[in-house]
Amino acid sequence: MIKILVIDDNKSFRQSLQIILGDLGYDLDFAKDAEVGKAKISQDSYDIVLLDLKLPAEREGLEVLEFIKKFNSDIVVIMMTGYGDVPTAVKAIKLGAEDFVEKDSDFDDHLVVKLERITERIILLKDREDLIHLLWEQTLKENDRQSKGKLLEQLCTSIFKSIPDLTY
Amino acid sequence: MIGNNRAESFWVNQGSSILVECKNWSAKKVGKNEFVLFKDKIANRSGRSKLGFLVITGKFAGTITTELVRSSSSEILIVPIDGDQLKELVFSKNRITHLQNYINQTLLI
Repeated sequence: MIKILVIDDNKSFRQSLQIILGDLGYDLDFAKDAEVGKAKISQDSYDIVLLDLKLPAEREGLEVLEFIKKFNSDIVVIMMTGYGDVPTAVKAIKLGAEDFVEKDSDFDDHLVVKLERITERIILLKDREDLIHLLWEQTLKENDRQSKGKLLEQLCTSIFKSIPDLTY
Repeated sequence: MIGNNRAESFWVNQGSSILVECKNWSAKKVGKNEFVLFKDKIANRSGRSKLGFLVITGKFAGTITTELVRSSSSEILIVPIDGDQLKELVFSKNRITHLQNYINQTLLI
């Protein structure tokens, strides 16, 4: 199950996300400010963070983003922005955010579509990592020389394939 | 063979293709002879490759270090990855940094 942390200081907004995303089967957690958000990220394991750009200050959202990316660059961060925040959201993307969603009338639809796309990718990546770990265990256990060789080759292929811009 | 399309200058300098050879020997340790044969394979790629990873699940023979020192003036770099390093790669969250570290460690030999 994909685990999402929502960091937003607006209580009613957090509640509405609980309803929308909870129904879609995501495992949700919430933080009401930057400090709680950072503490949760340090203690738990999340696949996606939905991060309010203004928490309440504009810089605070970007600071949390920088913290997340330093802590674990694999966590996908989607910035949630208000009207007119697009230039700052673009700045956030340069700092490592995956995407941004404007808090306008189409917010729910846009967010759901983006989450579906990202979830699909995360599941594929998790499957690939599971395969690498499985191949490693099988390679260690295998006693037949020829089979062990084949497993080692598959393991190396999978490892190098997992690295962006190295093509096996 | 791995196609190298990474944009960082460190990786651009490693050539457009990188060779990987896996050895699963258990009775005999992988050492100097395998290193030399692998180096020849890289050299025979008409200059398209200058980096290779020699991957095993156990430990290398001591002769590999001697051969690494001997060939340190060569354009071709062979990076040995032993079982412990392979395990690191398997469980790593940042495999490219590990590979880069192994290359740098080999260059320091």
